[in-house]
This record gives sequence, structure tokens and C-alpha cells, in this order.
Amino acid sequence: MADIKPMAMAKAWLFVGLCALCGQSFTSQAVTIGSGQPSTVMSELAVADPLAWLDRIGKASRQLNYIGTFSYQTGWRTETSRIVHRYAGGVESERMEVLDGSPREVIRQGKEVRCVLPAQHSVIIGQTDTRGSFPGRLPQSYVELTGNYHVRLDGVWRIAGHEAQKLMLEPRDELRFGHVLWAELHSGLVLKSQVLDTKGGVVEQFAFSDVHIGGKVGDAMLAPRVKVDADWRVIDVGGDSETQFTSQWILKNPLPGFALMTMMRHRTGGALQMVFSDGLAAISIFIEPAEAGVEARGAYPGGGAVNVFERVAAGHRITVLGEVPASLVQRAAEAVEVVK
Amino acid sequence: MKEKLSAMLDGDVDDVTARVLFVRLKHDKAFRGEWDAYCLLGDLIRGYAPPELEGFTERVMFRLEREPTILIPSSRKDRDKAVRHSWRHRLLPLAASVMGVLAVAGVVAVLSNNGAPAPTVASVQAVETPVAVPAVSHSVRDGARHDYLVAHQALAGGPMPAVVQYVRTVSSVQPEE
Repeated sequence: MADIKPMAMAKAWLFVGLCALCGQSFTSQAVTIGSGQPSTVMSELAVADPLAWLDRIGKASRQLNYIGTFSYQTGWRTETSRIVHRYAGGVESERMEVLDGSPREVIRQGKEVRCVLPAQHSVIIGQTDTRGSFPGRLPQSYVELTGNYHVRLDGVWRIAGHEAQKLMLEPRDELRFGHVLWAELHSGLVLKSQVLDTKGGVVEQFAFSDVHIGGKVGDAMLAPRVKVDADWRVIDVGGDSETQFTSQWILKNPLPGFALMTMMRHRTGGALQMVFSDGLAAISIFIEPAEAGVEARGAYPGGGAVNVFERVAAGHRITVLGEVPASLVQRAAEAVEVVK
Repeated sequence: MKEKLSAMLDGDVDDVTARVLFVRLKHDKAFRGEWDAYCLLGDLIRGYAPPELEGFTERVMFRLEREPTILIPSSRKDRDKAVRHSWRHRLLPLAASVMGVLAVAGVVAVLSNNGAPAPTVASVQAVETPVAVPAVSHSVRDGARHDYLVAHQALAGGPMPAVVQYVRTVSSVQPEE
């Protein structure tokens, strides 16, 4: 974990306290609304503080009911998907279906997430962790975020028929990507998101084309549509918590701005997974025994903003992936070593 | 006689046989067709393609390189075997056979249409048509392992609605395109 100085911690708690006192402290300010070109309009719903916006965004994605269609674009490729999200009794339920090509489906019920891949006859089951919730781990996340990113508001825009506050998270170094978020003005739900490379180019983009926020979401809308046959392969990537002491693996050099969030041992396959976060982006390091003669692939793209680096060390295959520049996953992979 | 024609292209016939072959070429249209076909095949093998087939090889190889590989990690042994036998080793024989079949088809088409763009060639050109080509730029072969991606996204979180993060996992699957 990153060391947090007492003064920084005090400031962070002070900030959180002020936010709590003010609640959803909406202020009246001049904002811009536009589609393509901003125009000046007054809104009572503009939250002045960008960090307060991040808090709203994190809560909105978890605690709202919404149904919408969004596109995911990376490189030349665009795919359209449908999402239904329900929050009831403190439990999140979600269903996402890719509408283009093979009808791939992601179903979430509470902490369990199932990715159904019909063409592969496979189902991958994962367990979500609230430690991964964005922005997560208050107030440390604010300290980490502002230390790694310059966070600022950039006007109000029109996205999918809704007014949306634009937030810029500009990296303070070249070890992380930039992020641009457009959050619905009233609820804080992110309607559009871009990941920018170190030159400002868009690496990937999520954008709702239509979304309905609020209202009832029935069980039928969350029910799986893809039939899973008995002979399909089921891959469980859940695991049990592990400590650095028992894992026997360490990073000999720290990753600037990244702190260890969690460590777990996969029940299937026995891979050790370490997750590091800078408050926004995350890196996972997977370590599992490598069979003799296996060659590491080195660097390769993992899809969208994800970069991967793989190497073999001490008889183990070390795979690092994350939504960060390729140089950082390589740096992380090369920093992994076994405790002797 | 076809064998002698082929041999003449390779410079493996004597002068007398060559003269006989040239006489027949002068008077026999079908025989000239055979000759043209051999010449075109030779050109293709040496890398010289007529305008109708311009960029043909690149288009086929471009498509093949981006063809998704079915990823069913049935066992670690299989996965490691897949790594050892990289995609090039697996695709090259396929590429070679595809090239062979399409080259012959292209030759026949060019010859039978007197140089005009042939239906077979047109269908080959369709290989490079839009959507599908960029759509496989992040195929499973290029992407990360699905189980790793799911495990990562389960713990990593992010600003977008939770399940949306998983679109990276399912979007890397394009077996039907």
C-alpha cells in the first residue's frame, strides 16, 4: 500500500467532511451546453468541485436503475451493446448483451459476474470486489487521484439527449492514460467515457446512444437469454485472499503512484493475482507455474485500452495487464521477483 | 504436350521441340490459352501480378493475419501447446493452400474474361471489404486471456457502470466475422 502522510490524510478527511456537510452541494454557475459546440446556459445542477463529481459518478453507476444502449469503440471497431442495471435492497443486478455478431452476454447478480461466450461454448465466472469500486477507498482514492491526475471540469455537454458534465482527468506523467468522462447532470451516471493515450488520441470510447435512468427494472429484463449447455466449459476465476508474505512474490521496484489493492490466489489453476491501482487505472499481475519450454509472448495489446506484457521468471509465467500504457505493464512485469 | 509447354517455359526443351510448339501456338487458340495460363502462373509465383490482381496477396495475408483464433483453454497443456505453435505456424499451411486455390481461380478468371475483372477476382476483393477487417484488430489471438481479463475487471473497477467494463472481455471475441 502507498504510504499516506498524516497531513494529506487530514486534508482528505476534511474534504470528505465538507462534502458530507454540503451534501449534494449544487451551486449556480455559468455552464456550457452543446452538441459539438458549447453554448452558455445557466444550470442549477452544476456541482462545482470535480472531486465531488467523481464521488457522484461512482455512486450513480452502482445505485441507480438504468436501461440503455451504448457503443464501445476501439481502433476501427465499434460494437453496440444493451445494458440493464437494477439496484434493489443493496444488491446490484445487471445484464449486458452485445447486439452485434455473436450474442455474448454478461450477467451480474450481486458480486457474481458471468461472461457467456456462445461461440467458445464457455462461461467465465468472476467475483467482483467493492475494493474495485470507483473511486473506491475513500479518502485515499482522492489523494491518489489528485496526485496522479489533474482533475477538472470542462463544461456541460449534450450526450444521448441528456445534459452531461464533462470531466477531464489528465495524467501528471506518461505512466498512465488520460480519461474524459461525461456524467449525466442530475444523476451522475457516466454517459460517455474516453481513454486517451499519451498523445491525446482516443484509445477507446464508451458512449450511450440512448439511456433511461430510473424507473422499475423487472426480473425478466435481467434474465439470461443465452442458453448454456451442460457441456460448456465453465471457468471460475474467483479466489481466496493472499498476503504478500505467503505469496512469496514482490515488486522489487514500486510503480509510481500505484498502490497494492488486493492479492488473491485463484481457486482454479492456482494463479496468484495482485491488483495495483492509482485511484483510477488498475494493473493486474498474474503469476502461475510455467511448463518447461513455454515461451513468453512479451508485449501485446489486450484489447481496447488494455496492454499486456508476459515473461517467464523463476519457472513461472508472469502476465501483467491493465488499462495503462504498454511501457508500464512491461515495467511492472520486470519488477516482479520471487522472495528468496 | 502440356508437359512440353511447361518445360519450354522453364527453358528445358530443345530447339526442334520449341519450333513445333511455336507452330502449334500460332494455330491453336486453346493451346495459346494454356500457354497464357502457364505464363500467368509463373508471373504470380514470381510475384508479378496483373492489374486485376493488384494487392491480391497483401489482401489475403492481411485478412489471414487478422483471422480470429478460437480460444478454448481446455487445459494448460493445450494453452502451452498453442503458444509453442504460434499462429504463423498454424496459418501458413492454410495461407499457402488458400493462395494456391485463389491464384488458380484468378488465372482462370483473368483468362476467361479477356483481361476484364472477373467474378472470382471480385469475390477475392470482397475479402478486404470494410467492417470485418478492422473488427478483428483485437482478436483473441492478439488479446489477453479471457479469464485474466475477467479476473482483472472484477477487481479493478473503473468509472463506467460495472458490467460495462466487461465489454472489453466479450468484445475480444469475434469468431463469426
